[in-house]
Amino acid sequence: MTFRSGPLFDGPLGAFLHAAPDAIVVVGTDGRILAVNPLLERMFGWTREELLGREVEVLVPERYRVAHVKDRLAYARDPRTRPMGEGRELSGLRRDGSEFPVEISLSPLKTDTGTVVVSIVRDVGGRRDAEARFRGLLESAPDGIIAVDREGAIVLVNGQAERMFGYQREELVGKPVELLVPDRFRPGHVHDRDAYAKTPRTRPMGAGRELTGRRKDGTEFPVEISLSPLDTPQGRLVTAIARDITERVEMERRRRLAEAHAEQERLRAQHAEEAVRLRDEFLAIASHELKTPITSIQLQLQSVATRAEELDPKVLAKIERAGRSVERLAALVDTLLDVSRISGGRLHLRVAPVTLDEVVREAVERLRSHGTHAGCDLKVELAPGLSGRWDRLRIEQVLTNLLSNAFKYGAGRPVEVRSRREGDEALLSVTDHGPGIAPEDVERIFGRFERASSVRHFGGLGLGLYISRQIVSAHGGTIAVESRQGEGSTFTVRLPSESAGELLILEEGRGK
Amino acid sequence: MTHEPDNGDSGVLVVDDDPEIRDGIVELLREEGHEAFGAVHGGQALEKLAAGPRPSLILLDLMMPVMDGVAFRAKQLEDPEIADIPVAVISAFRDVEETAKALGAKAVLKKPIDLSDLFEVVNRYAGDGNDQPAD
Repeated sequence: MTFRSGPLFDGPLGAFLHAAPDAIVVVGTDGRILAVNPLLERMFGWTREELLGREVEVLVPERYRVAHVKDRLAYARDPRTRPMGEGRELSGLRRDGSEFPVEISLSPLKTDTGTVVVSIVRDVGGRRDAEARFRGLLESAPDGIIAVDREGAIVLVNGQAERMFGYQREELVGKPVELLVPDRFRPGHVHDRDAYAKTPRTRPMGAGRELTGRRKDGTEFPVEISLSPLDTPQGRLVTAIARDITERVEMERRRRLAEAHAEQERLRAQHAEEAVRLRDEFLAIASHELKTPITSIQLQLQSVATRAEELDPKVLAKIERAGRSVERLAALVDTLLDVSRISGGRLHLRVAPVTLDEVVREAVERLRSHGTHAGCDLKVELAPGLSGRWDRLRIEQVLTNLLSNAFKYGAGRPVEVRSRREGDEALLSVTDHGPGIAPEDVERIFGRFERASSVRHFGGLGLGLYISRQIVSAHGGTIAVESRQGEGSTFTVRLPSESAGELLILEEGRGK
Repeated sequence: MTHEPDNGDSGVLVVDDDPEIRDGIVELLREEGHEAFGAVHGGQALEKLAAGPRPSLILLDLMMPVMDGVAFRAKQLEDPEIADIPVAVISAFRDVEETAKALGAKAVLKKPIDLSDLFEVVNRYAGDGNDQPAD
């Protein structure tokens, strides 16, 4: 194959051009194209015939042509082998008008007809694309990426790494990577880096240790890093992929804290449960044991009292007084057990069909002597046929409490017990004509250890109303008081005819 | 001197491990003219029933050592000779009714026992006693 432009490119030189792995264009001193090889034809889309003899600027985008002519003339004055356009990005122009990035190296070649310039043209579009893709990949990664060379100098960082450590890229590139490590860990880091260089493989950094990163402002954060060797034309780099795990560490800390709390809470609850169980057991046994001697005393006192005619009235009065004290003692024992159960949330009802007036009559009969003793005339007005599913004993207990209070505070005046129906509810009320309760005390009296009267001689622990309210509530009912100071009080219990009826759970051992 | 009720039964057996209660009740009942005797637990009660006079009523505590009230009642019901002797449960447990019902008890006397309730139950099942004290 020969070049029409002249004999210069016949023979071996022509064959070299033809076989060269790069696109080559040979330009004369006047800027005209003397020779091209097939790779250049293909690269620019022109045929050799079309190019030969034309100014080389045909291959340069129009906007660069003037500058190119100047550069060409300058080169002609000082021709030497060098890359073209040092530092600038060069573009080629194809026949179809499209442009592409090129790298060009220039070599002068002296000939008989003057110096020609051999330009080796390389299409670097592919490389630029690869670089752009690499950069895109780097930036799209969710983690910070830092590449470090053999000496530990930072070669490359992505945006995530910049933000994570609070530096600009320029501030990092070329600096030792220890810049990103807290002072106290730096010597160790240098040592570890050297060790890694000897056996580089992809692995997490710091195996099992908690790693700490240092930001530009000196603050630190927990970081997780994985390392990989990366071989490049510039030598072996080490890439560190860094992840800020502040959030994860914080979550983990909270989770552990929550777990510890839960465990503590569980133990506390377990202890509390055990303590309550022991207390209940103790109270159940204690109350059982206390009742045995109380029974004995009561039977003996009552037996003596039946022989009233044989006794000095003064002695009889003392015996009766002792008898009342024993009764109160027995009631207190039950009260203690009740309060313990209520405060432990273990007041269970044993509901069964109950006729209210039966319960009331029984309680009234039992307490009539107390009324008489207190000088209270007891009037009972009951609506017949009031019934519901209630815990008979507990309802009796409530009424006993209310009557005892009425006798206590309304001593010397009549006490009335009434029942009636109101819708689906059964109402039971106890009215006294005692001193009454101040409005500010009305709610308080249903609390624990409260007594409305400040007068010292009214005895009792003041737990009766508290227990009564708990019992009535457990039935799904209410207990309330209406009172006028100086005129007396009416306590009213409302019970739904169909009680909420909590499951029957045995409160005590069954006599075993 | 002993009293024989009209129905041929004889008195009250008081089964309670507490001596003050047991002996106290026995004494009170005797003072009222009843034949009464005690046992410290269910086992002894069974022995006394096997050996001695048949009572008209058994007052039975539930919580006792050796043989408690429930176990005693089971044994009693197994033995046709004594199965039909009525039992009244005496207990310090306030919610003893259901247990008593399950045991087929005729009555419940809750500690502290009211003397008049005691006499009422005893009179119902063991007669009115004697005008004269039995001892």
